[in-house]
Amino acid sequence: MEYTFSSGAKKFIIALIVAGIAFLGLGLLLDGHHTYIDKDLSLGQRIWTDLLGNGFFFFGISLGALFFLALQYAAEAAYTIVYKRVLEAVTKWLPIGLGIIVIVILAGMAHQHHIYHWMDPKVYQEFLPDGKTVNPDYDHIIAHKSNYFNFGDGDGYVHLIRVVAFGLIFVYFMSKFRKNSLLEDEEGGTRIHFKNITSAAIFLVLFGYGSSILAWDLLMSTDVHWFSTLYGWYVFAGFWLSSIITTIVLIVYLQSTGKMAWVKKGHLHDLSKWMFALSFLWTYLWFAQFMLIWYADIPEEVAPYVARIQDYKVLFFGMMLINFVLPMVGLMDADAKKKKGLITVIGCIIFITHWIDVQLLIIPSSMKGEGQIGLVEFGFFFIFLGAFLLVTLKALAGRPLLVKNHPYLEESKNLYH
Amino acid sequence: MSTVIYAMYDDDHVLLDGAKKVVSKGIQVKDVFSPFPIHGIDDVIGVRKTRLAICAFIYGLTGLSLALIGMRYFMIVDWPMNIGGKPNFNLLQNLPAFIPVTFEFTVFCTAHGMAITYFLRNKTLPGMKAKNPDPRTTDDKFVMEIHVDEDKEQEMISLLKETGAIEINKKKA
Repeated sequence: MEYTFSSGAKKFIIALIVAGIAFLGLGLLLDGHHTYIDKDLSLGQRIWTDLLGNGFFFFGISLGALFFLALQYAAEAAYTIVYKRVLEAVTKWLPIGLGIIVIVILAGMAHQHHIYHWMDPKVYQEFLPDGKTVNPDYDHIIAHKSNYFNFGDGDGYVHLIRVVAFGLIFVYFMSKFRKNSLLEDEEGGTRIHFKNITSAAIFLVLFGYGSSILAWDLLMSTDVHWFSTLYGWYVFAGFWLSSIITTIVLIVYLQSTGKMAWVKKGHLHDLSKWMFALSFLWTYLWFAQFMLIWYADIPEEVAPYVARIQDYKVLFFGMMLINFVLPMVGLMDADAKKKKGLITVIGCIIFITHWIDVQLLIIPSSMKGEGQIGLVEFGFFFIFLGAFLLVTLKALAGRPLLVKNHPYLEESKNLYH
Repeated sequence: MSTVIYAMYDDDHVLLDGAKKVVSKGIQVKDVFSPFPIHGIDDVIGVRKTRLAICAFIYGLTGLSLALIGMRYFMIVDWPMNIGGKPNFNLLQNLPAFIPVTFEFTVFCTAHGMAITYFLRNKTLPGMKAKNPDPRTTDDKFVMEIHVDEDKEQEMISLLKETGAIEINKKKA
């Protein structure tokens, strides 16, 4: 019943982190001799950019799992109950991910990096201190958005407060769902089940606002002159998909160690259908955003796409094509969705390309044309992945793999044979 | 000479269990008529996997190709139009503008093709005469059709009664 954190898994995680540190060290050595043409760019900027990109990516995976969990509560669905504990374990990273994001924002407010251009107080002053000379750094577009970010200067806290508030709301619901799940095992009955439905409904409303606003605040504001209305959904579709893939891979791993025999092929088939469908949702939103901007061709709207297509063409279109074509061709057949090996391989590939997707939301804005996805970036990816798996597997090992006393447990178990 | 037996049930679960019992005796269940899909019945009575998905794929490909060929001809070869200064020299350059129409036409062809194929295969196109043995199977009853030799008829009927059939009708094949 219980999962014990095996030494093989520990070795794998240590290997990931060591590989990450090796990549990072090598990357830093090579980057040390690199001189950037743009004087705003530096090695520090690159490191903070990667911290934000990886911080958000893994924060999003936890948030996606939390959303999926709440969705099942609110919909009173039975088919996820047999692997509910895996979903709960994936949400465990949430506070750590939030912490890393907050550190990056605080560092920006202390002017350690320039990922967020609007944190610069100079852009808000129309005139230099003498009151007559026009400030060359003044940016009227950012100045008009100052109420949203920081009330008219570079040091306001509005943005930080908003991110922390939504983050803490999500963390609160995460710990509540996790606590209730254990409580239900002991208590039985339906009291907690109905309580969970109510809190899941409240969470979903808050999540609807919070996920979009976090996407604007953390990612879209790196291109502060630009905005897109469906950006929040686009980011959300991506991290929801990543969290489904994480769940699938964890279940396949647990089954390979002989655990979780109660998760049948049909249950995995359900998750693969989500993976298939969400790939299409993500591509649909990618294209909806791209096509309208491409067609209208308004200079201030196309700027971020110009930056991405000029300097990151292969990565930008490559990751889109892989994320669209690979699941479409590989997972279209119903039998293919039930093959553990196939869904794991496809899942891992699109997991990495979705990581590239998130990096490409930030790197071209903060590193301009001089960024890259190289050794430093992959180093951070491996370190974060290792740490994420460590936290998730520890959370899995802490409690039984199957819930007891959930009202839908029997239905869920007998759904497939 | 063989006889066609129609055993009627008033519960889908009773029918499912009955079908399992009949099949375990080595008797083939020819067909089941039901107002809604009964989960798991396909495996029990050995219905072959539907090939509708393959048809759907072919219809989809047809729609996709027709849309792309059509738009290439209309918008690029025959009468190139300058819409918002978008490139109209070849298909690939103007592809983003054509994707929505291509997508819609693919869905259109797939959906209509599948529906028409389904009606044709079931012989239920509008105006065709219904072929179900009992009109009550479109409301709240479930019917199992079995073909047996005449000499085994009585044995079969008693077996079906045992499984909970509420009514049994027969007809010469």
